Amino acid sequence: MTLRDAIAGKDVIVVCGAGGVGKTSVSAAIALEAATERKVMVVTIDPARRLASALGLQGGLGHAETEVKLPGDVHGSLHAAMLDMKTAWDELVDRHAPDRQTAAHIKSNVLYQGLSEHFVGSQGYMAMERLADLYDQGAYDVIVVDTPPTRSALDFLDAPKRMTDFVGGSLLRWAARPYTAAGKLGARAFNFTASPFLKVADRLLGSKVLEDLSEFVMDFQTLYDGFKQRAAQVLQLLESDRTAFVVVTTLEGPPFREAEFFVDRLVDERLPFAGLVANKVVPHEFADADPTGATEYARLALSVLGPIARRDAKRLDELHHRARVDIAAVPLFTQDVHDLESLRELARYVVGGSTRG
Amino acid sequence: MPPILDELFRRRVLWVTGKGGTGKSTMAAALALLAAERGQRTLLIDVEARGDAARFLDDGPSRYTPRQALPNLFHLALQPEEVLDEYLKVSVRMPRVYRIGPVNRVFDFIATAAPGVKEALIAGKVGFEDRAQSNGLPRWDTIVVDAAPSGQVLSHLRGPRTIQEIVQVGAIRNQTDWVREILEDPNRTGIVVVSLPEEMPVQETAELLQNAPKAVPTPVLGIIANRVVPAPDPDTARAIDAASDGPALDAARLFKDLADGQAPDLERLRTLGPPVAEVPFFGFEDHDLASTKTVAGALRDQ
Repeated sequence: MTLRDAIAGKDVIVVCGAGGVGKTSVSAAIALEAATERKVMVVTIDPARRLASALGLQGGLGHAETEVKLPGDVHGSLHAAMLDMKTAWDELVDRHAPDRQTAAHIKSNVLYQGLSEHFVGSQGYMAMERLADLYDQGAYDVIVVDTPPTRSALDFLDAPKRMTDFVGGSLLRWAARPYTAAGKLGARAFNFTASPFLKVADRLLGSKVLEDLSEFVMDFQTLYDGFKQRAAQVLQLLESDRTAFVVVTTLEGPPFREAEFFVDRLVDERLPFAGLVANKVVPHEFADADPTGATEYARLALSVLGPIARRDAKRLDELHHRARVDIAAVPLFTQDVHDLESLRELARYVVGGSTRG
Repeated sequence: MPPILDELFRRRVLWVTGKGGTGKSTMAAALALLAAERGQRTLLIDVEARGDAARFLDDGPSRYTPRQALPNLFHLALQPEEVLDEYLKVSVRMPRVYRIGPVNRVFDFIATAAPGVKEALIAGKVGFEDRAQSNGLPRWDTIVVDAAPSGQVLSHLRGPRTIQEIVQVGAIRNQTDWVREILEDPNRTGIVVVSLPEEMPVQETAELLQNAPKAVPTPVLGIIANRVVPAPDPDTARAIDAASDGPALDAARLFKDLADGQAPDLERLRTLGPPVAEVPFFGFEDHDLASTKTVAGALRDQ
């Protein structure tokens, strides 16, 4: 079974993997392939130019949804959007805040500004939020999500839970309590003897930061119900058979080990794992090639490509045993994906090319 | 000693960055190995705490305290939580009971949400090691930082400044002053960018070079172009194009095509400004001390 069969009829395709493995190109390739028959949206988090240049969007790609002009006989259509974190956070606050005044107050807080850039899993959460949003709109047949580059490819799976835990956390309320109480009275005189935490925090940060924190916590609590509902909805969608997870990896050490870990996790959590794409694979013909009589240049090439080909063959086998799904092996390309034609070539290997098992 | 390495090792602290997948950790380990070989007491710091640094030195996992892998060569890995804990213990003298459980998690939140705190803590730890002394002498001659990817490295280096914009008073404010003195001194600290002759890594390198001077006075000392494929000489190239199939020729043709594809990107890297060192594409099955030594050898031979 090819990856094309495995993702046929799915509404949501989540593409994940370590940084630098070609996840964005593979997402675009899957989207391009699906767009021959259906109306497809691909959402990416990476800087716009990557996807944009491959898709021929010369003006770059923004947070807004943009249609990609596809030549030839196409029944579907291809649309792309980038996830701009600042815009995504602002939209989220606008959506879940009880009123415009609260929303404006949250957005002006210095901690909010930091949070929107730095919160661990924030990109992952926003990608999921955007997915839920697009899914609700119902304007597209297929949504392809290119997951954010995180320290671990797993982070985004935990993002919705981490976010609701954070917003609803008793922890923050506890920490900010003496402030919130004072705040409600309209007083700005804080009781620094209230807890050892506050004494230390005050010494470290000064009261201005603590004041921002307590205001932030009070305001942010108002978003809790909206966040919680959304996170539950996203998880339900991800677990359903409407969704397919595709793991992309190269066969180099660190991404390969991360992919193994990720595959185990998807299987353990019974998430709809559809397939694996092994990118930049060195062809097997070089594994045991005989250099006798070859030119010096060919011998040099074989001395480099031979060991990598042997490694790749070994690791493809390991992945196959572990994942028990087909693996689309994409050979090492000699040029980056730079236009629709090269993206199509990539797509042939990704969704319909040589698979194993 | 070749000029580019001379220029790098004039500094005590080197921040090695690069886009994910370019071989940043390999290069950081190779540079640390070269410094140690020259007789410098060297510390390799992995700020992302992936624990991979140790793999490149055939040693056990890096931890928060320096661990010796080879003569003159030590390594440690930073977990943000541990940096925060050490900070609260050493600089704030916070009793242990408040450094565990919910209090610690609140600080963790502040360190995450307040712009610059996490970055400043990491920068502060690097500065702390730079100032560390043993028997009245600096503990390290050279510190090589396996730093954040190029998209985030500037916010790490800028961390202390960002903090000063937000935290107007308090202990943190005062402590950031000396960290800035170390990180922003162009004679003491420098940045090394690892790149590949491919479109996106080159683009990210160009952006870093454009943004760096606006963010920090710390100079970009050099670029390391990794996995460079040598082009064949013209006669060989013609023979490759003319000949029939077979694995050896296929390999030669793939190599030639890779070299052709890399040429414009390599050219662009060379025009960016800083000196470019080239490390060839090696056929490593995995990363270990042997592969790190091979890469270090290539850097030494520039």
